[in-house]
Amino acid sequence: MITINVKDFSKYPGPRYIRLGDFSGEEFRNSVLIPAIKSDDVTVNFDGVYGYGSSFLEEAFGGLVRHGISPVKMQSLKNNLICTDDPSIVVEVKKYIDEALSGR
Amino acid sequence: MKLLEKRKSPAYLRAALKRGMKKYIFKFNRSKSIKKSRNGRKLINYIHKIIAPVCLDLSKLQHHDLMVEFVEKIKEHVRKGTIQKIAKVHLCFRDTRIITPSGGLWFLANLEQLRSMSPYTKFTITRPPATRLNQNDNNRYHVVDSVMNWIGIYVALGFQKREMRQLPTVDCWEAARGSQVASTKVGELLEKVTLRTGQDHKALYRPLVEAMSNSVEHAYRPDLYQPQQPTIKWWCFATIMNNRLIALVCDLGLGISKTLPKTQSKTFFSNIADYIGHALSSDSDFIRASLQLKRSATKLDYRGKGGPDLRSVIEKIPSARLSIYSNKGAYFYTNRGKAKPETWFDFKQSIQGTIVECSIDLPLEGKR
Repeated sequence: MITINVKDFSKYPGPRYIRLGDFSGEEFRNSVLIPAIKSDDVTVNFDGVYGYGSSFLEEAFGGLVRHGISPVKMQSLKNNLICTDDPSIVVEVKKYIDEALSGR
Repeated sequence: MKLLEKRKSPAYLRAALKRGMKKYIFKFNRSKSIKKSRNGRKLINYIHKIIAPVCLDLSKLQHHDLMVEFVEKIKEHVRKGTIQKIAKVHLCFRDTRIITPSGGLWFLANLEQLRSMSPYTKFTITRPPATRLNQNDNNRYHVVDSVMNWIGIYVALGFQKREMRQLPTVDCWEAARGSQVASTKVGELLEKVTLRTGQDHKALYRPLVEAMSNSVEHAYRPDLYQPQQPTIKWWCFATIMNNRLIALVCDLGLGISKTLPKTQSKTFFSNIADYIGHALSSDSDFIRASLQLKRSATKLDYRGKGGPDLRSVIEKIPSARLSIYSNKGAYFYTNRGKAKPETWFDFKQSIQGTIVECSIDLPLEGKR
């Protein structure tokens, strides 16, 4: 099991796409999430970050589904999301994953 | 005897001549279209004097249009400047007594953009007067002058930033600008304010980053935005006024009414017409529509979460307020348990851009 701390990526997560600015959801998905998910099961810890834009979260996690990560792995990821600072973040990310899965 | 000597002295005669010339030129200039300068010669390079309004503000109906007209006048004269003939503009702030965050940020953004696009202008200024902070305090402070100096309006006009007396109502204004979404800058800006107030303002991070993303992604769409792509695409402000933390993001792009039809489908517009009760016609209608994106079908269903994000964050914080200005439209949402938390209307003049303003009450411990 690999644990990803978003704070290691950036304390200030940014916009949706790489072209819009640094620390984007797209960058996080492509450089951190996808390589980790392809190699093992993943736990994502959202703590220690200043805040999240919804675009960042949607692109990073909803984008996984659009980039072909299997529903089984996504269900596993959904069960391994941690955020003690703001538990609503976990609910929100799960919603984005579900929305992306339903639109598949 | 002494009086006679005084009246024949060179200094007295020089002053008398100057007085006489001044009187003559004043009378001459009053009736003639070609003006004379103070030395009696033809006034060749006339300085355009533009008087600033009493209140540099965009939020109130009585101030908004005066403010926009003031900036339009500046733009008109600045654009006349060429490399051969530098335009000379005198900005007179003698009447200016109030500056609000929305007015200050929009003014700063316009000046900086204007200077980068039309650099052949020399500005001179009359500084704003000292004013009383409140009715109980008889002392007068250069608050507006100090704010304009602090946030960089004078630098944008080509003057150097001065060392001024520190005023608590002024030092808490923090400004940032950029061409890409700078989440780090937003975070650091809010952290600076947190250090000053001792209160955490993480809640404002999300709406500010989303507003900035919208400015960068949509406000200057190359297929719609005719002028050259600007080097600075957004300006951001955080300030504390009257025990409220106010944070703003401003762009001088196309405005929501022009970009929304490009990003949303016909289904969205038919759904939103049902919600609003009529087809979208005014700028304020488009602002309201942009806040409802999540509830309607979009071309890319997973996108368009920024608008609703703004309102949902404000809905979570008691006594928070969201104000959005886009072109002629204005929209206000206040979370104070009012029966009608939303208000919207259109001004006569367009700000040619978009401003998103979020404000929250600070606890009394944080009061400065």
